[in-house]
Amino acid sequence: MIPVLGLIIGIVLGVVLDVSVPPALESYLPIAVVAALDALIGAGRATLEGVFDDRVFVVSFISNVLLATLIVFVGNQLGVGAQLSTAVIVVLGIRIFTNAAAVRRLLLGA
Amino acid sequence: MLLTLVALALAGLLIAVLVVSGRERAASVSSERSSLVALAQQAREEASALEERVVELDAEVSRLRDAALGAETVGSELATQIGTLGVTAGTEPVQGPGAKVVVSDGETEVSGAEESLSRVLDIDLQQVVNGLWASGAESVAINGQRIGALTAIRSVQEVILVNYTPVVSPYEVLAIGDPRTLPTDFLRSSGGRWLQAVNLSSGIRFTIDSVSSRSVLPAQPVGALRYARPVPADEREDAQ
Repeated sequence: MIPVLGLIIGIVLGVVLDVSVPPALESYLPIAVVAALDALIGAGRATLEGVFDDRVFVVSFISNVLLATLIVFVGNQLGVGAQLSTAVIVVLGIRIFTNAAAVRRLLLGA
Repeated sequence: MLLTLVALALAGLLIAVLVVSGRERAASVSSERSSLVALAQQAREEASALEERVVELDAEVSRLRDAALGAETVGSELATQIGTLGVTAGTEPVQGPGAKVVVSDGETEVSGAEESLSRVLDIDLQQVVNGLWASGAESVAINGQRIGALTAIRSVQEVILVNYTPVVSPYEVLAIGDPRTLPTDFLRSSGGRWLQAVNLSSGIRFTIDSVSSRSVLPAQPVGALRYARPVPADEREDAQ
């Protein structure tokens, strides 16, 4: 219940506060969101498997978001930002699907 | 537990911000497009208003000219001369029977490189108009654009301009002349032979008909005429 509450609080805050993203950071936002989604699905899987740990979740969430952003930043500096952000999204996408499949097996048994 | 909550709130915040900024971007793109559309609409209205003004001023010019020439013998002779020359120069609207040549683009080819080959080019229309003059046409118009003394038929990129007005396929070239001889003479002229050649080589389609009913060709006002003048002797030092 509490995790869902946190998500809702965040979404409401985002809509109400009307945060404007600086143009310099705009290309990193989708990457950060995909990394956050990956952490969320991973946390869901860990919860269902009964191995969820606060500390691991928070650390992995923040470090994943920062790392993904950092990789894209380095790519931008090297002039291959678009390719590297595609690479990051592909890797994170694969992880999201793997974790989602695990969640589905645990929930539905199929 | 609190940390988890904060991290989750952060994730929700990120997602919400992404969605909101994406919506804003889409909204700004669509508003930009609609302002461009409005701009184009406004320019078009302005152009048509200016065209109307041209017609008005042209009518005023001929009215003032008639008033200035007056009813005396010399004046009315000049007026008749202006009318006769105006038919050739294209400054007077004309009507009468004649011939109609319709030229249109051929079927567009599938491959990108071949596509432009079956399009009607400015040279094709130039040849048609020259052929019509050579076959005895008195006045010619393309898609309602009268061929006047200063008319140019030329391409700008893919578009053909007649009197600086874009015309599109099918190109209907109306000529006033003898409806019995004009079509056959045109077919034998350089213009007719040119059309047959491009029809065979590029697939451009054309039809030639005689028009026995009256067709009206609009006038094409001529702007200021420019003449070359010799440089006066005292200004010539650099030329030598």
